[in-house]
Amino acid sequence: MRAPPVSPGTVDSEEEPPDDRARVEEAARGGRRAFQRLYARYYAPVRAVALANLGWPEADDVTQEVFLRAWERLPQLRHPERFGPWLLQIARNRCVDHHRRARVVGAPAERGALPPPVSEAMEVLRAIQRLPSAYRETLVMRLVEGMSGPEIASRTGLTPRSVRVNLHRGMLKLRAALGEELP
Amino acid sequence: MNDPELEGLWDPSAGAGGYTRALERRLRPLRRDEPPPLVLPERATRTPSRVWTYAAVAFAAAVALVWVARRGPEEPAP
Repeated sequence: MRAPPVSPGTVDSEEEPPDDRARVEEAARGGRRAFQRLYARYYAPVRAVALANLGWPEADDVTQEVFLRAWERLPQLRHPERFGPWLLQIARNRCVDHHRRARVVGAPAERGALPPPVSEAMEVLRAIQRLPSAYRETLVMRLVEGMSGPEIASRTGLTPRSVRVNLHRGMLKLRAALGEELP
Repeated sequence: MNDPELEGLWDPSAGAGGYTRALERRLRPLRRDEPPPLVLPERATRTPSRVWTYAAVAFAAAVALVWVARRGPEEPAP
């Protein structure tokens, strides 16, 4: 029997480096430069969550919204060492809000035909989006944003083992979905 | 776990397998190499000093209420 995927939403240890904690505390006190550094460090994983749950180009707008919301709410964060998982949970919540808004307002108008490199990339992204949440977020961090396994672990708060499991099982499922020859 | 395709997933510097590299190439147009500039607004939330002010006022009001309640009714004048 297979173990269920390990969701990045479930926080299971892995300490952040001390400079991250110091930056979070400084940013919570209003330090803009410290927050900009956190933005540079966490931009890729946040965008990966948005891409995995929404798609492109919506992911870029939602990523900016996530950081603006985090900036407003940072003084309420009780455990600065949990900044990464907290930020990624904001990203997931924003994706849910985005889906809800789209249902109320109606689907956005078609943006016209995408150029071939993007449309081919979107085919693969859609296959990733059909995977369970934990696999798709980890795979987008790795395959789109180019993060390594240890980087994914340190930003998401998952253990290295959980990341490895998600990457391996996610890749096997993706390969089964796409076939040996990429579409 | 010894599949080189899967090992390259964990550590790209170890050399990703052919299938992984093909996926990376295919997904490349979706990547942004640099985050766009982020313009931070003034924080709209209450600052800690204001929170403490509200807490102090609420505490003073509670103390005053308790003091008034304990005094009880005024004694009638003899």
